[in-house]
Amino acid sequence: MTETTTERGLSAPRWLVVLGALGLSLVAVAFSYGGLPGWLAVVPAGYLAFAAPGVIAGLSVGPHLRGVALLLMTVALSLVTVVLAGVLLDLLSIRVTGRAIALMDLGLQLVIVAGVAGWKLRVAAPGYWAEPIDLTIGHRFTGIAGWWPRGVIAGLSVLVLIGSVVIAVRGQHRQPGVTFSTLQIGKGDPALTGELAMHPLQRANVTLELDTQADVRTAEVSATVDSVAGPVVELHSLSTGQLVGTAQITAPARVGRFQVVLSTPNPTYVASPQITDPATVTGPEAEQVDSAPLLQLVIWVNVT
Amino acid sequence: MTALSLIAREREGELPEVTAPRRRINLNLGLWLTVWAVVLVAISYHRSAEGASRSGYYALFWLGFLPPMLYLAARLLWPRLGPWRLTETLILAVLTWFPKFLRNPYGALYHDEYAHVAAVNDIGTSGGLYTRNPLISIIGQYPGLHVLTWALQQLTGLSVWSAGELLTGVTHLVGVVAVFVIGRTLFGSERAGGVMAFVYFANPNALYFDNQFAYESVGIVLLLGCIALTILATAATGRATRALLTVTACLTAAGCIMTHHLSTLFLFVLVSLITATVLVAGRANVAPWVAVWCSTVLFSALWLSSAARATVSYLSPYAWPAIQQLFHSAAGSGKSRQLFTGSVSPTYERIASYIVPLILAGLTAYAALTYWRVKAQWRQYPVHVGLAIFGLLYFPAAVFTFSARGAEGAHRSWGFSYLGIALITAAVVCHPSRPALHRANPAFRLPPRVAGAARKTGMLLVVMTIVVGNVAAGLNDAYRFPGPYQYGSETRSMTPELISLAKEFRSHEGRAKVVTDRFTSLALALYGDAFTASPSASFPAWNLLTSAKNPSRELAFQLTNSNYHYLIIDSRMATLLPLVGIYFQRNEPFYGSSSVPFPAAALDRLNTVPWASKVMQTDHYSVYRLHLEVLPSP
Repeated sequence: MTETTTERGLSAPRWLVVLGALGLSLVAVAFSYGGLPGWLAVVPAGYLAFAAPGVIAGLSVGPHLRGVALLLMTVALSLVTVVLAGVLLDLLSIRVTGRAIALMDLGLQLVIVAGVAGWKLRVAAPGYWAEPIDLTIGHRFTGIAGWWPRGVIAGLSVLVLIGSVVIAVRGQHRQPGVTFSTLQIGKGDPALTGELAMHPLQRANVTLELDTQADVRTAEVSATVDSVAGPVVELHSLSTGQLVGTAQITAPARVGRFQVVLSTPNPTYVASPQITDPATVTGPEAEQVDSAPLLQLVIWVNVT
Repeated sequence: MTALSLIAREREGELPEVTAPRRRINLNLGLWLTVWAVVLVAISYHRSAEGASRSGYYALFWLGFLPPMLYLAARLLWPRLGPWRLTETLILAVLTWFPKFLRNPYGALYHDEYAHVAAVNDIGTSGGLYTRNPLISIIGQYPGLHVLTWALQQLTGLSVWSAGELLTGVTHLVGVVAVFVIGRTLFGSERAGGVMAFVYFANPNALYFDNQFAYESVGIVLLLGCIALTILATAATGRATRALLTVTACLTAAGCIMTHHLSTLFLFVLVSLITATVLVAGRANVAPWVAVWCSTVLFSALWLSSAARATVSYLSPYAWPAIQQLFHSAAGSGKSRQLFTGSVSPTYERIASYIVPLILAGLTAYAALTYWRVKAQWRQYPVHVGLAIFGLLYFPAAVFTFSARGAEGAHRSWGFSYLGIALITAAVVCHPSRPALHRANPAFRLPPRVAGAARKTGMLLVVMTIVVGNVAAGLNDAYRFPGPYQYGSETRSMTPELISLAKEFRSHEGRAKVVTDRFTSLALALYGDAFTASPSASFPAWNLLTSAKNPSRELAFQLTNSNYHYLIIDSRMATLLPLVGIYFQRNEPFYGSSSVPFPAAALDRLNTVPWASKVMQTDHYSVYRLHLEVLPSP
C-alpha cells in the first residue's frame, strides 16, 4: 500500500466530488422506476451495489489507498451496506423493495460522510473539504501503468458487460420448456374438478378458510352469484391467522362470481382460499388487489 | 535474516538469480487460452448432454481447462517469465468462474440454488426478511445473499437468476483479489500473492460448489475480504487509512455473519487464531485484529441470539454423529464410508484426488522443516503462523470424508482451510533458497538443462494432479456435466413435465403445503410456490408411502394440524433407487437402501384409500388431496 499525494490532473474540491458520487447513487433509484432496458440499468445499479459506499468512504477519508487494496475496500464496504440496508428496513418494518434498499444505502453513505466530517472537525482540519481531488482516479483502482495492461483490463470489462447483457437477454427470454400435453386434471377432487353437485336454485353452504397474515379489522362478506345476491354469514378470525366462515348461496343455473371483500388497513398477504364444500366450487381462483386499501378476494364459482 | 524477508528482498531485486532479465511473455497467450478453455468446456458440456461417452467429454473438459491453468502455474513457478500482475489475477478469476456459469446459465440447477432463488422470491412476496424456506429451513435467517440479489433484481429489472449470477460473478472476482492481496501483503511479493490465489482457487470447492448461487459463495468472499482488509490495516502507515480499513474489515465481518453460518464459524476460528498469535507475539499494530475479533464475537452473539437462533440446532446434528461414526470405524465396529462410491469419473481423476492430500502433506512437512531452523523468529510473523495453523485443519477434515455424517462438513471446510494451505504453499514455492536445494540434490547428476526441464515437468505434473484431483473431489459427474434424466439426481431430474405440474399446481392452490420427495420438492418450491414438508424421525411423513396401513393417528394429526393437504408422488419411486441415495432426507430409515422401499402396490393403494383422492396426474406424477380428518383423532 502506498500513501500518495494529490497527483497532477483534472481536479475538483472534495465536497463537490463527494456530492457527485452521492448523486450517482440516485441514478440507480431513478432507473428503478422502469422504462429502460435491464442491461442499461445494470450500470448504475452495479455502481450502487458494488462501489458507491466504498467510493464515498475513499473520497471522504482521503486518497491514500490505491490498486487492489482500494478495489477490495470499495467492493467489500459496498456489499455490506446493501445487506445492512435490507436488514435495517426489515427492522423498521418497512417493505424491503429494491428502491427502499437503494435509498437506505444512500442514507448509509450520508452517515459515512457525516462520520468523516465529524472526525475531521474533531481533529480540526480546516479546509479539508475544499482540498482538490484528482479526478483521473480510474487507474488508482487497477494500480497498473501503461496502455497495454490498461487495455486488457478495459477489454475484460467490456467482455463482462457483454456477458451481463447476454445473461440478461437470454435469461429473460429462455423459459423452461413447459408442455401441458401430458397434464390432466384428475377426477375425484371436487375442489379442483368441474363437477357440479348443485341443482339450480339449491341452497348450499360454502365454508371459507382463508389463511391470511393480514391485519383484518373488519370483514365484510358479500356473495353475488351472477346477479343474484345471497345472504352471507360472518367470518371469524382465529388466533392461528385463519379466517373461517360460512356463506350461503343460492345457485342459479349459470356461471357466477362469488366475492369476498375484507376490509383491512394493511393488506399484506393472503394465501389461496381453501373452499371446503366440495359440492359447489369448480376451479376457485383468488385475485388479490395488494395495494388497495381494501383487500379483495374474488372467488370464481362455476355453476352449471 | 529470515526466509520471509528474503522473499521480500527477492521482490525488490536484491537477489540476482531471481532478478535476471525477464523474458517478455505475450499476454495474448493467457487470453487466447482462456477463450480456448471456454470453447472446449462448452463443447464437453454439449457432448455430455447428448449422452456421449464419458471418457470423451471428460477428456475435452481437461483439454480445455488445463492449458490456461498450467500457463498460469508456469508464470508463478518461473518468475523470469514475468511478474504476476492484476491481469493474471483476473484471468484466474475468469477461469475458475466460467465452468459453473456455463453449467446452468439459465436457471437454478443445484439443490441449494432452488432454495435461494425461492428465498429471494419470498422477499418480494412477504416484503420482509427471515421467511422460513421449505428446502433449507435456515437460509431465511441469513439474508445477506437474498438482500443483495433482490436489490440488484429490483433496480435492474433482470430476472432473479441473472441478478444472482451477476452478484456471484463479481464476488468471485473479489475473492480472487482478496487472496492475492493477502499473499502480496504478507510476503511483500506479488508472486506470493499469485501463488496463494492460484492454490486457494484450486481447492475442491472453488470451481463448482463455491460458484453456485448460494449463501456460501458470498459468505466465503466476505470472510476473505475481512482477513485481507485487516492485514492491509495492520500494514497501513497512515492513521486515517488504518482506521478506514479496520472499520471496513469489522463491517465486512458483520456482513459475513449476516450471510452464512459456516463462514461465520470459520471466520471466528481464523480471527481468533490470528489474534491469539499476534497477541502472544507481542507485535505492534495489534489493534486491527483485536477490533475485528471483538466485532466478530459481538455481531455473532447478536445475530445468533436474535435473527438466527436455529443455527446451533441446525448444525449440531452433523457434528457429533460424524465424530461417533469415525470412532466406530476406527474401532472396527462401524462401517466407514467408501470414497467415490457409484462415481463414474475417470480413473485418473480418482487417483489424482487420492494423491492430492499426500502432496499437500509433503508440502506442509517441507515447509515445517524449512522454517523450523528459524522458528525463534516466528514472533515477527504471527499472522503467517495463525493462517498456517488454520490450514492444518485440512488434514483432520480429510479423515472425516470417511464418515457418512462428516463427509459433507469436511468437503465444505476445504473452502476455508485451503487459505492456510495456500499460505504454506506460497512459503515453500517462494522460498528463495529452494532452487539451491534442488540443485544440491546429489542423487541426480544430470546436465543442468535436462535437470531443469525435469524439474519443471515434475512441478507441472504436481500442479496438474492438484487441479484434476481437487475438481474430482469436489462434486460428482451429475453436478459437473449435463446429461440425460437420472432419477434421484438433484441436477438431472428436473423435467418439463415436473415444471408444468408445479406451475399448474400453483395456479390451483397457490402456496399450498405439500408432502413429496426431495427431487419433486425442488420444482414445487420454486415453480409451484409450495411449502414442502421436511420429514424426520419425529415427523415420519414417508409413512404415507411405505406402510400398507393407514397413517398413524399421530402422523395424521401432525399433517392436518400443520395444513399439509397434498401428497405428490413420482411413480418411478416404485422402481428406481435415487442416485444420491436419499428419497426425502438424510435421516430417513431407508437411506442408502439397496432395495426400493416403496413397492408399486403401496403407491397404487393411494387410489383407493378414503383419506386421499387424486386430483391431478401426469405421466409420472400423481397429486393427491389428503382428507386425513376422516381418520380418528389421537
